[in-house]
Amino acid sequence: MDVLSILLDALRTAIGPTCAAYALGALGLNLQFGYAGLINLGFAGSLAAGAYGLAITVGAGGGLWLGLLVALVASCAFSLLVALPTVRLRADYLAMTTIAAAEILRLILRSSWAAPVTGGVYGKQRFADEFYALNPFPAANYALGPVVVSGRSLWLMVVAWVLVALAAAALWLIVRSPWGRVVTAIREDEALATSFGKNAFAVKVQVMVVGGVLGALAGVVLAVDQQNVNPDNFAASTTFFFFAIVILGGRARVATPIAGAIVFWLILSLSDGVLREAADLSAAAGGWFGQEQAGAARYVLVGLALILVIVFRPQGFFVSRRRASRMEEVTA
Amino acid sequence: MTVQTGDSTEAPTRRFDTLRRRRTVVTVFTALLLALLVVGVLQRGVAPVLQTVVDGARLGLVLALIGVGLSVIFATTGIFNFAQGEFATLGAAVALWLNVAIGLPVVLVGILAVAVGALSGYASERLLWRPLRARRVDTTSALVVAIGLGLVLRHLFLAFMGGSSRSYNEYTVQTQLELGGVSITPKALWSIVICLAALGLLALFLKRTRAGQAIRAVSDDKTLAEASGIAVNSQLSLVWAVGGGLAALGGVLLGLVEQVRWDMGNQVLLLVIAGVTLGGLGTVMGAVVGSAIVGIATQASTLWIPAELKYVTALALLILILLIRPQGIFGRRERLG
Repeated sequence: MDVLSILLDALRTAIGPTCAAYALGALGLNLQFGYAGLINLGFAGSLAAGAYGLAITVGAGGGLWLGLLVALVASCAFSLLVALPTVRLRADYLAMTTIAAAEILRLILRSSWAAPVTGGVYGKQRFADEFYALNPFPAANYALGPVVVSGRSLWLMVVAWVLVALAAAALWLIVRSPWGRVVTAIREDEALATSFGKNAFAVKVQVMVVGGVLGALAGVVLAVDQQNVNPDNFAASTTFFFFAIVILGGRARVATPIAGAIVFWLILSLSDGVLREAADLSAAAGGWFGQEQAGAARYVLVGLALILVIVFRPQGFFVSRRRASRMEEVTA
Repeated sequence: MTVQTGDSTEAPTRRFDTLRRRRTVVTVFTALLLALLVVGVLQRGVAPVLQTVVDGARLGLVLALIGVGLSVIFATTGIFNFAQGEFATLGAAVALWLNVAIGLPVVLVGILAVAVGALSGYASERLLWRPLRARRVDTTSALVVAIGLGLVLRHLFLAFMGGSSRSYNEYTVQTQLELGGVSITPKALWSIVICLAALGLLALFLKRTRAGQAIRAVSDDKTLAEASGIAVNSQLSLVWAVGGGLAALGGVLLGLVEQVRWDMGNQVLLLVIAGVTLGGLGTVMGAVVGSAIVGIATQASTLWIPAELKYVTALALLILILLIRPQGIFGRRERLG
């Protein structure tokens, strides 16, 4: 492997369905965390609800469209279940109750008790054939700039990025609506918003549900891409990836999560490529740095990025410091 | 130097109310747990229930050891240290390395691991948390930093230790002692004794020594403590060092009775938080009682539900606890609506 193929791989990841799924989910998390200030550490639970909703319904013979419907309903139910009792809590208590709720969901999904339905630790496979049967692109290879993809993955990529664009457009309208202004007002000063007769509780629950639906769609895209759902794909570290994207991009802007997701996956894929190369070299030379270490290193990088961005550029990379401070003046 | 323990910002009666409410919560949970155990005795007989109580108490005490630093830090600075579990893993990992690679006896490496834990707790305060406080980073951001730190440390352990579970090369297999129908390995018994001793010493330190009084004053009311001439920053360094050391000890004991794994600390983190929150944040006694309840409830639930789902009980308990006392540590209501 050489430099060029590492670069090409990074580019492929950055335009691929995984990145689109993370952009979609990050849009939802940005609504919850950026606009409303809710630290939802159980965001992976929404993804799991979506992915499993689809996988289980299709597995039971329900068809793609019913599966999508069930995915959305399941994520709404999960969000409501989590949000109704917890959104009144202070920020850090909310963080802990949501992470606990998502962990409960994951533990139940992977238990042998629920295995007849969920597949237990092995998860569910091959449930997206109907989606790929709808593929309008002939089965040739397509060159997108330097990256060559099959018609099959092009189909999912187009659908995923169209979903991202639609979600971003909808969010752009939503956050500029009166409802969106109430969301920001509650984040800045809940007492003030309440004193103006706004129902902070209801708005927060709505934010959790809308964000959760976007998370579920992200889960569906990921599941369709891999034709596989596994409970351990929806652990807390997945949530932290989404937080890294939102914080990296910049909170409370519509488009920054998309830019954040693309940059995040570019960097992650580049560093993965370099680390794997280093692991191969080190293994050949008998060193201790192997593939397992290279796999761990990506999480170390994400953690470091979280710390460094929060400390040195808390407003994110795609928001200028001047803009951020002006916003503080307006909302102060 | 006079140390005041009263709360200047609230009327005494209000403070009394919140103390009483805290006691009520603990009492209610204890009563529920006892009722559960009685049902268990009626259904399954005495021996299995006693067994789960002993196992649960053993787990709960380790949870308390890991969580007591987190609890005091939260009471003082309002930061939930999501990387607290990593201090425990650090202790276990250092002990494992010294024991397996260098061949030192477990008792000695345990002490060394505690020293390393204390040192790393102190280092994290000096290198990370104090600069962050100086920058006036808000609670949300501090939480994200703690999560990031946990992610970094956890995967550094993974890189250096690999993904498998391992044991120390002493005390691995022990014959179980039979004490009144309860079977327990000697190492588990020692774990209980060491936990109780360490927590007792900590309680004595906080009650009797000047440094301990200063820490209690800081955790009660930081501003007032500062105004009465306590050097808050150096007390916080002490808390981080003690908390890191005790968490490392907890990790060593957890690794001794169960196994050492790169994410062992993170796996119990939410249980730790459940325990210290239930007992009331900022107090040693609270951490012990709350963690014991969580530990016993977790183990006792295996009487009815599959063992692989026992953490679900603890997590549900955590949610329940936070829902019942949303107003936070000393009852300052921040809730609206």
